[in-house]
Amino acid sequence: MPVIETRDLRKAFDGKEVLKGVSLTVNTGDIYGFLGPNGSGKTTTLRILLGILQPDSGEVSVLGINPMVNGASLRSRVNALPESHGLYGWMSAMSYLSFFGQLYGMTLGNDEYRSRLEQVGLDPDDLRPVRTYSRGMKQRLGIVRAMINNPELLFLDEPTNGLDPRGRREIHDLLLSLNRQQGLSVVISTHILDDVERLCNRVAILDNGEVKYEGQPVYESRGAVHYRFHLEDGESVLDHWSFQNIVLLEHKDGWITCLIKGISPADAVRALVMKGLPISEATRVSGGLEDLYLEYTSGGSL
Amino acid sequence: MNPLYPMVRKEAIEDLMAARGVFFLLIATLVMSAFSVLLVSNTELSLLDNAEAVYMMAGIIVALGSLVSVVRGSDGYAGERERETLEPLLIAPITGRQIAVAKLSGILFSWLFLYVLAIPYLWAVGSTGQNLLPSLEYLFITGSFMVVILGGLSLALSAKMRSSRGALSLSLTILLLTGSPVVLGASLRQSAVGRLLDLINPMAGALNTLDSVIIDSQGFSFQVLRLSILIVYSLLVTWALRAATKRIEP
Repeated sequence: MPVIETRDLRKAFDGKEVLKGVSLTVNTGDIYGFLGPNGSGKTTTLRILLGILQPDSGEVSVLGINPMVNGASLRSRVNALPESHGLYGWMSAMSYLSFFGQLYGMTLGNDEYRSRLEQVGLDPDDLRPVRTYSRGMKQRLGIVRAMINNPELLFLDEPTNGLDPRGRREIHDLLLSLNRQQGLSVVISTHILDDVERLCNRVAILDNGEVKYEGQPVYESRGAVHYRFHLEDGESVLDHWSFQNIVLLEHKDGWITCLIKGISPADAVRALVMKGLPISEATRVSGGLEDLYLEYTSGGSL
Repeated sequence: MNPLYPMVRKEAIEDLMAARGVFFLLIATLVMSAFSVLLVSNTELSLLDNAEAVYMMAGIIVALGSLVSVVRGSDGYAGERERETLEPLLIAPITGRQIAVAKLSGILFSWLFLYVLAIPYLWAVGSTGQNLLPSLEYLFITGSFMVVILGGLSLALSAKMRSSRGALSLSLTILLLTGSPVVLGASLRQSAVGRLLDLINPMAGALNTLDSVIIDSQGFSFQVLRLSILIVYSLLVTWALRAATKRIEP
């Protein structure tokens, strides 16, 4: 069932057409990647979906609601992390979170706010104003704020920007666990293709205000993608390989090389892990999202 | 909980928590201190009638309140937009009008704080006179109207302009335009044009009300026309603010 449907969205600023008929479908439970060069219309589309920007024409439905008609009601069920953190520099992390909790009408106790901050590695007893925080800490606080109302649908604009590799991995794990356990649907606009490959089961590539590609994050014209996975263990699974969309090509020195067909690399990793293969590292060999991106965009910077 | 309450609370305490607010209050305190010292110690000014001294002090406090409301109002939306804090607010389930009410309340809180700070200064220059209490009452009433009018207008401009400096420049120009007829010479103010300007200018209305109450000891019935004009301006500005904040773009 679609959580987002847009048909022929158009928007112009000062006579310049930024969106030229954007049509998208995001289904329940999707982690949907939104890719495109700077100025391709990603942020404008997200703002229209959130109901804070009015399209010139076209149809929008988010969770079955028209954001332009019933925006406040929609915004209590969704949330977003804009590209900028949007933090009030004079507040502490706890007061910032509790301010937004109250704004969303949440009746959370102090312990709940504390545990949410601790979940992303922030100290709830840290009373420093958030303007003194590092970029990574601000990003984590922004993510907790975006989760404050337990949204059904989450929009993230560059969610791992400024995070170190460990921080990125923690955010990936958090999003994947929320997606699996609570069925949270996520739309991610990002410049980091690795984020999309790890997280997203579907992507849209926007270029010059048009959707050039919508589908799985695999380079379909080449039919498949090659991946190398490093395994800690799992020899028994390798002996009884039974994955329809993942072809085992090679097994050497704890590394396996696979051909993934018809599913996203993220889904492939999920399937392998579910079968008991403890994957500690994954590397794309060829035919991945970068190739897809380069084919469908017109040379703008990432 | 209605999202208006946390928003009003945030707007009310923001100025006290941010360095900018403390700076403004410090400046206001210094200005009031300097002026009250002048009124009681300067040879010429100390010869003024007690009521005249209270009226001059009250005028300074209204001007300071108007200035603070213009500065805060012009920063209300455009400043948040520049600091990139507006978008998370717009994403939250709070309407544009609730944000506007909260921001106007925040400006009124700043005025209230300034007013409380000003009471000892008024007492210092007017405690020996007889019109101190009415002057405090009417200072609060007229000052609040001026804060709603100028603060609300600045907020409306700030909602529509992308630059807080642009909004501040325009708002300060409006403040100066409302203030300029007040400094017209006595003879010009007695002319038809002067009387018309006095009638339609909200700042002149506020100061003439204070003049009438503090210096001439006139009662409420003499203030009805001028207060009505301030009420009309307040309603017009509220309507303009409502229209400007119906849909706020990030």
